[in-house]
Amino acid sequence: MLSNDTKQIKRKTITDKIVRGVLLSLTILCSLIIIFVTLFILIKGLMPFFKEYEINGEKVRVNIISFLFGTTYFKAPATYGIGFVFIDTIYVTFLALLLAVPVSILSALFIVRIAPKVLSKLLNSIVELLASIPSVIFGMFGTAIITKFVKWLSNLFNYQSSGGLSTLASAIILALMIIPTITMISVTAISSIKQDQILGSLALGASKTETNYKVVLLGAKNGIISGIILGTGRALGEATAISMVCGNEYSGPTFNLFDKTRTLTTSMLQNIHETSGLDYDIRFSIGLVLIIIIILTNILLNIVKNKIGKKYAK
Amino acid sequence: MLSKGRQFKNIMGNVGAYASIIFTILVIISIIYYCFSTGINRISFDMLVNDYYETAYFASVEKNDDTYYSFEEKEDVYFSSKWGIALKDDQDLEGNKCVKIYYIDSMSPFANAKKENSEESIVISNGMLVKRIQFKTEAGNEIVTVKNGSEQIIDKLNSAIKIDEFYFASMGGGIRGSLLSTIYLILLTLVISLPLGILVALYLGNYAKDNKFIQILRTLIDMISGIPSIIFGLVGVIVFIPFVSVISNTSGLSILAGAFTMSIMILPLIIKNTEDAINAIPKSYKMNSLALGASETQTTFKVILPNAISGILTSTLLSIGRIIGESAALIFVMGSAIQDDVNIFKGATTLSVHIWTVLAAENPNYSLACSISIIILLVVFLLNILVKIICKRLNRFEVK
Amino acid sequence: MEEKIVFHCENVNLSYKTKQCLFNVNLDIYEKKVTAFIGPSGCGKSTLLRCFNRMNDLIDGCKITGKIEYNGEDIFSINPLILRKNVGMVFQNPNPFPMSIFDNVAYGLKCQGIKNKEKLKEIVISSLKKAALYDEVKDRLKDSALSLSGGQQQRLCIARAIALSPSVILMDEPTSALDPIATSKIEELIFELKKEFTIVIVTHNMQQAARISDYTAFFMMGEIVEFNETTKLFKEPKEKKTEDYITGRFG
Repeated sequence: MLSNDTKQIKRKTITDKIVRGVLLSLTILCSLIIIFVTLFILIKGLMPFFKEYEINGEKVRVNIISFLFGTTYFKAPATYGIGFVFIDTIYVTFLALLLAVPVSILSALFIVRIAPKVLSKLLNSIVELLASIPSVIFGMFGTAIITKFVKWLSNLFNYQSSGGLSTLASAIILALMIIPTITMISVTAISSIKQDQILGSLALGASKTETNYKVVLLGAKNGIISGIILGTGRALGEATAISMVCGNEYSGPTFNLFDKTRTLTTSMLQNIHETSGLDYDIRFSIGLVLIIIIILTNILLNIVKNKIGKKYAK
Repeated sequence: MLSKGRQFKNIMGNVGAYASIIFTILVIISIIYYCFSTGINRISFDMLVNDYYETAYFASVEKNDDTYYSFEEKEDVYFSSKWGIALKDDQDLEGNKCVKIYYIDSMSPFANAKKENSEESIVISNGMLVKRIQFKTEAGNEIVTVKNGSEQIIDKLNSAIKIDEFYFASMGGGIRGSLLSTIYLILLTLVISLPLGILVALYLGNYAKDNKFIQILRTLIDMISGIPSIIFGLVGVIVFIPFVSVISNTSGLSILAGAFTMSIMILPLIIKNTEDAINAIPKSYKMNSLALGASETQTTFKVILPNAISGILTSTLLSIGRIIGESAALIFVMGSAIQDDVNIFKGATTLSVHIWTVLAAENPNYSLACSISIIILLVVFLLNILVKIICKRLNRFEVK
Repeated sequence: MEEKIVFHCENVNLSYKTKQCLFNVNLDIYEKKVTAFIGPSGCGKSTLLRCFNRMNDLIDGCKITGKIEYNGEDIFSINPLILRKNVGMVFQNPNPFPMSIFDNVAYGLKCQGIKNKEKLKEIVISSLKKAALYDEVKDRLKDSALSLSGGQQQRLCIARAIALSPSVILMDEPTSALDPIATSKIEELIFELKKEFTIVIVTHNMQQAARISDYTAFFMMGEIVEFNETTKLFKEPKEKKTEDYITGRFG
């Protein structure tokens, strides 16, 4: 039709195809990252159980059973045990959630339902700022202030803690770090409750506070649980801050709040640049366990979410 | 009238909410207050530009004439009119007592100092620290050190005939190296991840149809953000450290490997924000462009991309915040040894890791850690505000 | 007088996923005439319009059968980029790109690979003149197109379409988002433009169709109920449904 244009049009059509193809392959590449990450950790993490390491002239291999269920972190030459670390990690995370969840939900309730509009915007920004504080600063705050507080508290109970490095300090620091995460998501969930439902409740003679607790929080529970799931993930994966206050206990498990503790992430970070060989490689195995725990917790909490969510759904 | 029980419950419910929000606010205030009260005194321009480690110099100084030098007297500054040098007691960046050179007369023997045991001249400048002076008097050899304080040093120096060894040092305790490494890391990470993230966002936001396959790709990309950063540290050790070692013929920890590691971590963030911005562009823009005979590629790069700029900016700022705050992964990939000579093929610490290293030492230096924290907090808060401003402008499409 | 046929539709059926939107449409569009599509909303008039420059290709699950010819050539054998250059389109909402007025008009030309600045300027100015916009914007060609009023923006969109010197301009309810004064300006413009271009316009407004068009097609439920010269269709409709609609008994 327009012959001198046909060449140009052909070129354009080919360019379109190439660009589309390149973009698609980049997208596929990016989505494969997660698979590669898991694969690498899996291979490297399983190595200590199959490869022989030479320590002091002895050829050794890590026993996978004692690794998974052991109650002492390290026994020479090559026995590692993270069974107690696993329990301590779950315990500390659970304590952190116990502190953070009520505070976060109620803060969110205050921001959306109780505070006047201007204040609520300001508070929202403050929570966002808290979320943006790097973990190393939380860690510093923990070693400088929280451990002192824990030490003081343990003295009240006439208990000798090791300078405040403790389960309690770790749980508090984790709680402070996940409060903004859970609060922010709860704020979104609570804001999306329809005004009609609230007016309906008020019209039935419920007070404002009763409405807030019985209608608003109940209606927002799905969103709130999503926030808790995210917070749990962050708590399980947090490394720097908690490693500064946990004290890295050698054996366990410990349930005493004033005793030192150890989590998976802190075991990975401990003395990282003063070690090599098996002691370095075992960190990949711990990483593998961490990934598995995070995936399992996510699945578990999602099941809980679906169960609770369905209870009042149509 | 509400029953007493209901009234009590109502009050308790409100008290809970008030207490929670007050607690949350107290947390952030106490963190900020702690950082500022401990670290603000140390923040200075010197801290930003100085090396972390002191560099020691040794010089010999000779006085050949009988000239005397003059100096306008100042409080707490001690001047030797014989040697033309003024000293002042001060604190170094570590918070220890030190003696600083306050002033050197341009004609003073110190201005013509030579390197010890050689004829090479050496520059002694203001702000450097006096460590030890070994000199000859009529009576014999004598030594003064920092511990004597500037008043005594000047006093004794006035009786000196010849200074055999002048041991001085450039000021340490600065964070220039870490600051530079942080900037390098940010730039490298953005150079690697921004183009990739933007192109993927263009595909997902502009080309991709909403089918199962694309949904799987999306889920896989989203899953990256659920993995804790320390795991990416491990990945960096397995993949990127060997990779960088091969391409640069070096070995071990490096900023470049850190940049690759950070790139994967921030990829979902860049993709998500850019895609959100692309989705906010009215569909009619694309329709109009195509109706004007533009090809798909032309539409993508001339209409869609320029209009997604706010999303790209937002993701850049958020990424910078994320990189500045990251520590666990970087400890694995870039190490925790503070460096003054920054090289992208070698390990280094970012500001966050610098804090970690300082606090992991035998005598944790809280004031240095806090002053770095102040810098980090200011930058992160500033980024936060900028993102807010940009997000407000992003909504301009929705006005119509 | 024998008029030249630009678009020729034969038994066109169009379905979107499982819903059929057009049934056996047969229609001819004549050169340098204004053809109006009228009918209640959802009757398929915009859908047919979008077939003419293959904009329906962009919608997932859209299936077209039958024959549509452009100047005697099957439009599905023409590259859409060429087709769209020759068949311009103006949309319901005035939506210039967030660029300068000049760049908006030059956009299509630049995409065609025209780089010569003199030539670009020449075409941009003549297009703006043809769209009766030049006098209003000649001093601020570098200003953002979004600073213009709604009516001016719509004329800018028309100028943008004319710049590519198409033979046909498709207009999808071009005045429905405008005030009466801006609307009358666009109508005057359409009157001028038909000397040079074939125009197909979808409109909700029957008076508008009666005022500006030479031919009118009345659509209902995806079918063409009646197609005739505008004067005939409005004065003596053959179909009962048409009469009901134009006399305002429903719609």
